[in-house]
Amino acid sequence: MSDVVLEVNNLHKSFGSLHVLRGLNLTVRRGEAVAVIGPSGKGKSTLLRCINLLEQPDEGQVIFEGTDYVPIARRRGLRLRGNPQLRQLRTHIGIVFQQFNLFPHKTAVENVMLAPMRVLGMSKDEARERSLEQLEHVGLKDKVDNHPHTLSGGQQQRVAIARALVMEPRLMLFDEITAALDPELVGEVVQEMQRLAEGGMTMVVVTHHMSFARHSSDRILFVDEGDIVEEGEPDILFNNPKEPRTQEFLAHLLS
Amino acid sequence: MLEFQLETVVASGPRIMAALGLTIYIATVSMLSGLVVGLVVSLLRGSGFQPVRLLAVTYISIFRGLPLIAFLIWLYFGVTVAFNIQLSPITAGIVVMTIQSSAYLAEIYRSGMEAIPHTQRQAAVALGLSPVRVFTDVQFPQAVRIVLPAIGNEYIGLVKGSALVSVLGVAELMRTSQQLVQFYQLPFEFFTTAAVLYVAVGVGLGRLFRILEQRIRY
Repeated sequence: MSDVVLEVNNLHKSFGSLHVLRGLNLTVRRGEAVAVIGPSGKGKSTLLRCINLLEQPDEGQVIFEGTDYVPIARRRGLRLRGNPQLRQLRTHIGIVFQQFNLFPHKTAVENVMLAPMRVLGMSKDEARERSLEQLEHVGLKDKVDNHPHTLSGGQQQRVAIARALVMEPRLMLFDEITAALDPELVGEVVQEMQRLAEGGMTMVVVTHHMSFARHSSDRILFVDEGDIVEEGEPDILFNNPKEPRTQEFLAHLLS
Repeated sequence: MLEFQLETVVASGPRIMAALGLTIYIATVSMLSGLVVGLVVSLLRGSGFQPVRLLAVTYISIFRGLPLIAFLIWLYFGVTVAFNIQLSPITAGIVVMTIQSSAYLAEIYRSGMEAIPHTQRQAAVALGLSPVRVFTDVQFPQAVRIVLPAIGNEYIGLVKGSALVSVLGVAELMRTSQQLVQFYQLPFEFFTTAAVLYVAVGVGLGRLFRILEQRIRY
């Protein structure tokens, strides 16, 4: 069991009368790249946001490296300092959003440096050095001093990836990170996820990019109506889906 | 029309300039303290604790609705007597203008904070930043840029509003002009001069804020 990074048990989340997650269970092992696919608006993003407790689950467990964070999240921390255990958790879990969410008033390298300085307490020089390294890894060495609005969507998303990776997370969450990109920019961003998956990063990837799911993930979850309908290895799930809803979804994609 | 007695005005130049200096001083001190008090009020207004929030909302409603001159007279001729407080007219003017501008500025800050997409806070929280850091490093710098033009307006408003402090006998630009008019019997000359100077300060501040805005563009 020691190689289990994340365990989600019986996860429930509602927004008003909308029951988004309905008793979802999920286990992610170290080094595993899990792709989450399924129709829009059926709980995939909410699942990710419950994993790093950006959303407070109504019921269930979110166990990261042996600790259930759901009861911890219920405790309100001091308002000004936040909940220290949750903040600690978030330094270990990186997330990349669909809309990049870069800080527009900061340059690329400043975006990446912020958390190492303000959360890990690194010196400015050290934070800058590590941030430059990360930006170089995602191929943006010559854009480090650009502000986000001078970068393409693909470049912005790569900065966002670097910003998450500089914290040396033990789990990465990707929330449809190519969905807001122009088609010709999708490749460069998917490439970064592939690089991470091959490098052994533990990751949960919500995606509509079927080629990534099929070729770069270890396991695919098909989520609909707030629960996992079917899961399996990519080739098996794509070639022989058992559940009618999975069949329908894949058939729809291929048509 | 009679000839414009420019020499008399020029001869009174030092006194007029000193009065203008006092006008700018009152407006600037009120502005700076209003910025700080307004920030505090704005933060209280966003508090999770309802009585605190209510207090801030009440503060804003009262001091936004109270005419400056009524507030000045009430404080300087009413409150000081009732509570036996010693207050110089300049201090009274600054206190009143600080309070009033803080009520406006609290609302200006709020509009600035609300203009920042909530996804900014989310991204910062997801990185592990504390609420204080989210504010100081992510929200505040963006809000400043949004509210700077409104703050410029408020500053110009304070320069104009300071003319009302003349009713307390403060020798700022308006009061000094009135005194000079009485002494030289040249109302057109001195009131025109005062008007031109007010407008000049307004134009100058407008330009200053334009430069500031461009400085913090990204």
